[in-house]
Order: sequence, then C-alpha cells, then structure tokens
Amino acid sequence: MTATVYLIRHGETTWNRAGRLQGQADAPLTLHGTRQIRAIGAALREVLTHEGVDAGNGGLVMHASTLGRARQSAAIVAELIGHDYDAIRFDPRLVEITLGIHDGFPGWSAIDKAFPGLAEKRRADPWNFAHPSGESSQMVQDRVRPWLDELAVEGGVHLAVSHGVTLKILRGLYLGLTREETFALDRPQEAFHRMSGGRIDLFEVEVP
Amino acid sequence: VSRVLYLLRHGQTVWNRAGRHQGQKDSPLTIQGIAQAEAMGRRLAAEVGPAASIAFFASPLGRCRQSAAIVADVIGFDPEAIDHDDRLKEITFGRWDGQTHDEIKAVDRAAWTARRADRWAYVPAGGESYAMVADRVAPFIAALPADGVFVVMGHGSMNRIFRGLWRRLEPADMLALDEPQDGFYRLDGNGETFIPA
Repeated sequence: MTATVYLIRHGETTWNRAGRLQGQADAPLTLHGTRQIRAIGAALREVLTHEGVDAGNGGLVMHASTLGRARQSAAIVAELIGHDYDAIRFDPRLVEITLGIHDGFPGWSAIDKAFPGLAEKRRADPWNFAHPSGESSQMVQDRVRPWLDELAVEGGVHLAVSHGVTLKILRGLYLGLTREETFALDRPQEAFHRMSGGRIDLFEVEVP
Repeated sequence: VSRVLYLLRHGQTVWNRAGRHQGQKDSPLTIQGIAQAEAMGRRLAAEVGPAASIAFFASPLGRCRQSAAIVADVIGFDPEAIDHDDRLKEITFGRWDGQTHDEIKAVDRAAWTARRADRWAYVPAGGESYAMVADRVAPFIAALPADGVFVVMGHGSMNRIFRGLWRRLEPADMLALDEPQDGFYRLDGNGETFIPA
C-alpha cells in the first residue's frame, strides 16, 4: 500500500441528534454538524500544509459518498483545503450501509422491539445480517475493498468523506482486524483518520 | 385576524457561485451560504420570538432542507416538524438544469432565444414555465390559515412568483423582483418588507 488516505465522517445530522438510523436515507447537517466539519477541514488543511500536500493543484484526490450529508460535508472541506468541488469523485461505493426497508427507523432499540425475529438473527450472526432489502457488513466490505485496492494501485494522497459504519469497515479492512474488532471501532464526528504505511492515525479537533 | 409570512431563500450554493442554473437539481451550501442561513435565523428569531407558535414550510430540495435545518436550530424549532412541500420547489428548466447560460446557449441557442421572448409562458423541454410555477404556488398560499405566523424556505425564482402572487403583481413585475440571500421578506396584508439579516 503506497497510498495515503485521509478519512472523514460527515458532520452531525438532525437524525444523528434524534437517534434515527439513516442508512441510505438522508437528513441535513445540524448547525453543530456544520461547525464540526469546518473544524475538521481547518485541521486537515494544517496537516496537509505540514505534509507539503497541495490540495488545490492535483496533490490530493478527493472522494465522497453520493449521499446529501456527505456531499454537504465534502463541499465544506473542499472549500477549506482549496480543492475544486467539481473535481470530487462521488462514488456510490462509499455510501452508508443500508437497512433496506428500515432506513430512517427511530433507533436500534425501537427496531429490535418492533422486529424481535430480526434482532435474534442479528445477534446470531451480526456480520452477515442484513435487514430486508438491506446490506450486511460483509456486503459493505465487498464494495469498499475494490475501492481501496484501486487507491493502492493509483498511489498518492487521497481524501474520502463517508459514513460511520462504512468507515469502520474500511478501517478494519485496512488493518486486517477481526469482525469483532471492527464492530468495536468508534465513529467519531470530531476527528479524522489517516491510513498510511499500514497504520491508522487519529486526529482530534476542537469544535467551537 | 392577522397573517404574517417570512419568506427566505436558501443560502449560497456551490452552483450559485459557479453560475449554474440549479432548477430541481441540487448542490450543497458553501461556507458563505451556511453563514447566510445562520444569520437569517438570528434575525428571524428576533422577529418571531418563541418558535413554538410558528408553522415552518420548506422546499424538499437539499439546499432548502439544509438551510431550513440551520434556521430551525438557530430559532429553536424542531427540524423534524418542518413541512416539506413539493409545491415550493424551484422552477425546473428540464435538461437545462445544472448548466450555465453559456452552456445552454451553445447547445440550444434557438430555444433559449424563444424563452427570452416570452419568459412567463415559455416551457423548456422537460421543464416548467413561470406560469406553471404560479399554478402550483397559488394553491399553497390559498390554503394558508388566515391567522398565524409562517416561515417558508424557498428558492430564487419560486420566491419571486410567491411574492408576486401575494402582492397581486403583473407577471412582468414578478419577474423583475430580486433574489437576495442576505436577508428575507416579511409578507403581510399590506405587502412586503425586506429585512436584512
């Protein structure tokens, strides 16, 4: 792996705040979410400057999920690091895991209560469990793996704006973690990660 | 009995800045656009007082959802209670949505010229005329209760039609109205007042 990949999760949305499960449904950023992403963009700009990466002149390839909250977050970050929004590679492989017919449901406990049979299946094999018409963690890993493989071939510096679960699976894949270790990863919205040289660094930011 | 309606336009988007007609396509807010929505929210809070008593409507397009969510956060209104109404969408120019004037003229010069000759009634391929927008906005206005405080988050062209219908203007006068993003209009029984954010 010769590529360096910065990973950013979208800022807090109105549904994140309300505890609703978004999946591939969408909700706008909260005011706080816009501030989180601005803080991340500003911190990333400093790191890139320190590393001698010119994000405005082809020194960095920017990728983003096609979902609205990721597009909005990517637009803010692009503006702060001086990258052209129109040059972002919007890639459907970076969208969030979908809960199929249950995208938008008001929380895990509500979904388990409403569908006890599904909750039992999920507990029995969480990695391969998918909601009706939804995706399993394995299915998400199967779509992000080729994306990661392509970056390894392409090399250089990359930035991806994506989602909580998708980024956990991506980080787990990169580090060769077990399924249990991957589930145990966090999904911070006031930090970003860098995958480089076989390791992952965490950069935390202060949100005003 | 009194009815007051605050009509806001979404903040600046990436395509606004690039000079692209969004229509019913969409692009995210710029940092300036987020600041505009936040500033409008602060000014609106000073106007309306407790947000619990207002009704909040917005276009369902992404830039309006995002702008409305920011305004709602600032004024203390539950964003889940915003009523997204399809009649408040921006005018669509069909296949011209997402393009700049120059790009449209390069491919469809004759159609563009025909539109310039009668902007009110001209229907672009796959799109809407201003008259068609008026036909969907008028029932929205007519259905508003006679009493209350309303907030509407809309679009540049749609808002011109909205204000024109409210004030009973002639089509040519509607199309001559402005499309500010640094303030909003207060509409009541006497007409409209611009309130800078």
